[in-house]
Amino acid sequence: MNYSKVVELLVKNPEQIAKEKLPLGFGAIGLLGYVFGFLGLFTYLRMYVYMLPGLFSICAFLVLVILFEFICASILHLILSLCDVKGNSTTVFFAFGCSCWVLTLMVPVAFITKASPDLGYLVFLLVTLSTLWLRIRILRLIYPISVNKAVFVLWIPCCALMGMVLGTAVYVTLWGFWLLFN
Amino acid sequence: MQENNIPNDVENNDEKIKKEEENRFKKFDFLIKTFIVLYVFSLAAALNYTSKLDLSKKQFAAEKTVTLKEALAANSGKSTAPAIGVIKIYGAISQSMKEYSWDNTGSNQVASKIRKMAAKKNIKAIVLDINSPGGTVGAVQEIYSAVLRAKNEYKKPVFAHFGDVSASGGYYVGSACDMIFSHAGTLTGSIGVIMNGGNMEGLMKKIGYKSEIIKSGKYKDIGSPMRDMTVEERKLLQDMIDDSYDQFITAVAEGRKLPIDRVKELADGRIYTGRQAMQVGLVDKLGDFQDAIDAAAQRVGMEKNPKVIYSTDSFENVFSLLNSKLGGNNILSEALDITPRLEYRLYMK
Repeated sequence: MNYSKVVELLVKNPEQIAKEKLPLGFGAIGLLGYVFGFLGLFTYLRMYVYMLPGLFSICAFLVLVILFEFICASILHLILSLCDVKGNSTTVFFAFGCSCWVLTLMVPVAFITKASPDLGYLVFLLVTLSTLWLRIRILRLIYPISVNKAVFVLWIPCCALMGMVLGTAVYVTLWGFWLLFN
Repeated sequence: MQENNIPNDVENNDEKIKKEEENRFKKFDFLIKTFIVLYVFSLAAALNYTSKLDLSKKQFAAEKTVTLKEALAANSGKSTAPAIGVIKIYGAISQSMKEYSWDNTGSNQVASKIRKMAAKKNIKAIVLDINSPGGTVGAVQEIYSAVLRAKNEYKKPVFAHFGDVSASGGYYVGSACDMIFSHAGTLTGSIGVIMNGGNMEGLMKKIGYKSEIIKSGKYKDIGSPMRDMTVEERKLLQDMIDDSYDQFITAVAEGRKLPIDRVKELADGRIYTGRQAMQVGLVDKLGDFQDAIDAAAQRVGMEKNPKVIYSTDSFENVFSLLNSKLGGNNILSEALDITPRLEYRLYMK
């Protein structure tokens, strides 16, 4: 299988992902996108000592983010299905993986940030925003929805995650009080 | 002729398009491959950078091992400048079952705080802020022993300041200190031992309750609230109290450098005001807490009004506050607790 041809196809004719029959190798490109994209993000964070070193740390990070992306795609599809919008969650998951290729730019961005922090953070913001823009475009290709709705459904899984984290924190705090004062 | 040329032209066009497509694809393929190579190179550079960073960190760690506490202290702006450590001993002293580090009366917690303070290099002297009517014998002796350890092993002077009350066990702890400061009106003294038990025999008869005790020895239920105490039992307990009393006066005599007989004269259980205590030699100076801090500072060659480090931090204080607000109090359980206990405690119930 020639991955270059698949990438060329996707770049030249992104509407391909909206079709029922996806190009062969699309899933692999998506998965590789997750791996290399988040490896770039990991490297960026690692250069600013926000991440632990070692293979285990990389693997744990990749597994967690890919799992989160999978759950994101599932929640997103669930919400849109509840709104009677037709689409395919597997395609969303792999297409989001393709959008993650942009994150490979995080490695040079890390060096730029080291050289010039202001410019570096600006480029970081641009890369992040372009990933988001790509995802909105992907969503609009797969589901017949407006930009606002796409932004909304993209935020919902993040909000759900934050809500879960907050809920867990509150529960743990209350449990701590119970443990201390009983 | 024309008819023959048309298929050739079409074939030529198809070939041209195919060639153009192939060329375009080759360019695209080259671009992708270049991108991958650049990505791999940048990853390698990043890996090289991070490994160098890790190595320098390891070297720094080898030169100086920084503990998490030190790092936190450094980040929070806490310096290692010389200071006087203050430990509060408030309330009745006992060996607390609770493990709260902010418990000011749990003997293990207080002893642990004294040990930790004494072990710190920047703490030059320790001041015990005592406001306690005493407590159980074992718990008081635990703190007393920690004070002696701080003085002898770590060579740190330990001063005491008496607040409202510092009687019996509170005084026991204070007697181990190098110097005792007290307010003129502080209640202190009450040197002695007490054991307090109840007798509910009459009450139990009234409600028709009869206790059946099966025991392995005749003294196994000594101090039982269900019957009167025998003469032998009373003598046994009195001997025990006398022995504890002897330990108390020995500690006071050693700590205050007074003859045993003189201490016995003073130690009949009476309470003194701070001024009276100073007149009889149980207290060194009258003064407030700041006086005690300043005296400790001067003893170790520091200037007056030194930096003071308290044994509890702000985080612990918040939990202490919550504990006092949410935890309720145990006055009722203490009142109902009739278990006989040997105590160095001011008896004013």
